[in-house]
Amino acid sequence: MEAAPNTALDAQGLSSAEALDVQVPFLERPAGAWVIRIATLLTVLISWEIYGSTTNPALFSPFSKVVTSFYELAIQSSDLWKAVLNSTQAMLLGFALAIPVGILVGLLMGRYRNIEYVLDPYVSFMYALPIVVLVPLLIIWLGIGSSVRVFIVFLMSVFPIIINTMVGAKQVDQDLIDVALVNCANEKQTLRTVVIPSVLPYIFTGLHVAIGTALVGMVLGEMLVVLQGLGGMIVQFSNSYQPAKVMVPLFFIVAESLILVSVMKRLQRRLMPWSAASNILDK
Amino acid sequence: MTLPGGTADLVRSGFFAEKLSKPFLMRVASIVVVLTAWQIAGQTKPTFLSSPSAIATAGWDLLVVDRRLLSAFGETLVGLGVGYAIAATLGIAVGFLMGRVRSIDIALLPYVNAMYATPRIALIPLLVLWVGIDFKLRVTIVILSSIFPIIITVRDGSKSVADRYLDLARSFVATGWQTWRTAILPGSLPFMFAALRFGAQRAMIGVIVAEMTSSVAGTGRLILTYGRFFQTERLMVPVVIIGVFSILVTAFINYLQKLATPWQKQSRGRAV
Repeated sequence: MEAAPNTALDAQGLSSAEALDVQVPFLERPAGAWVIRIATLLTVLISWEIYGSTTNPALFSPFSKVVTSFYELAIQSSDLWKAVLNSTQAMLLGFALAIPVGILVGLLMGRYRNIEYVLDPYVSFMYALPIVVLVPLLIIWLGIGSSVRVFIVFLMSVFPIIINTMVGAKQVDQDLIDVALVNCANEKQTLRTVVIPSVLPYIFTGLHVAIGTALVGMVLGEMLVVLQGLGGMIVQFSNSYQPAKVMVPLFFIVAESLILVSVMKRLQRRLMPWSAASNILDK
Repeated sequence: MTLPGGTADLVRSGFFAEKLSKPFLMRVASIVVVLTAWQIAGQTKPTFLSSPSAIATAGWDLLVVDRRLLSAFGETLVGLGVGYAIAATLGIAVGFLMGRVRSIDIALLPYVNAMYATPRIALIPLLVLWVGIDFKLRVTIVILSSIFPIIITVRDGSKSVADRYLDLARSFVATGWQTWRTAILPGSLPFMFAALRFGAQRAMIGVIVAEMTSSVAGTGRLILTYGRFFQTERLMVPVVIIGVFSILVTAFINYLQKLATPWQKQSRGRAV
């Protein structure tokens, strides 16, 4: 997590200084960086501990209490792991549905003008709309069972995938398509050898955004509708004024999102070594 | 709309026939077909689907006759505006600091990344304990929702200012402030606007979720209430308004970007 930004820093911040043979200040050397990191961490934890032990325990807990709650929930009992499993299943199901649908619709819209014209008004609207506002409507449609949560995740993650795939499919290099045409490639061959490889980086950008929104959808569905899983735990512990325990499912949600993003990055490197680290911003 | 050369000329030159008419007509046709189908299907299952005409009537009721929606939307907007203004100012400042001052970057990056990875709406139940359920909650959640994407994007942007511009500034012995004003700031403007778009979307989600989970008023609460009473046609009115509002906000930020960065070709903007 920290390695990547540092290399970027080294490449930019230090290159000119080193080229000019200027003495690099201590705080900008790797050892200095660790001093800063550890000092900040200690400051944060100590002020958290001091503030937490002097305020109302129903509202805010010291760091040590969070650690004990972590032990209680994650190691002494299996409640937390059940919640993790419950949430993750729903989230992955919704996300897994969104991937093929998003890629397919995105490719169709990017490759065929007529399909784009027909679908564009709805996709643009839904992409701009904060999907949350549809939750009450989804409850009317699907009830308050677990399928609502899956559908919220699906809706939250499908539109970023569609939009990014579409943008990518439109920006396929025309020269490459011409080469395919000249070589009498049929539509399927063009798709496989030219379009898909050029669109893949865009699809991954979409997936990257969609992982974030899928997790938000999961938490949303759990907080607003089903009251199960990690989101349900957060609501339950907050309502019973146990702020230390709230931090534990929160921590797991963050961990989950970090793990998913790193899996995605690894997959991206494996699948398309030709595109170096691509940014969230489309380029 | 006055087009240079007059509409008649454009029609004669085949502008409409070639460039405008097909996409435009197809979009209109698509919308008409969907709305008609919805209207017909909605007659059979009004609570489930509602229908465009019922939604229009409900819209008239809620916006013109009753005005309940207007005041609720106003409340949402005030929270959104105040929170977003704070988040944008602070976020841009911190983002630039992190991008250009290495020790600050090292100190803050782990926390900014961690907060960025946290779905901030999961903090709402805790925030309710800390700041209550009203205006302060809206502002806090809007700030939390939008500030981290803004910080990260501005940071990346100010880092990605091309070295050749910085070298050029150095060659001309530019002072720190001059380098800032002529190289770093303009170079990172596109990222700044991307950050603002990104932040606006997140802010919107944050405020609506806050209102749905806890607040006693506001648009989110109104949607939830209509949903509970199966008043689908009323529920759809704020949904449409919020959708249109989000589109307008993005369009406005794009417009500002166009004004601020006239040297940039305006082609992207949506896929961020």
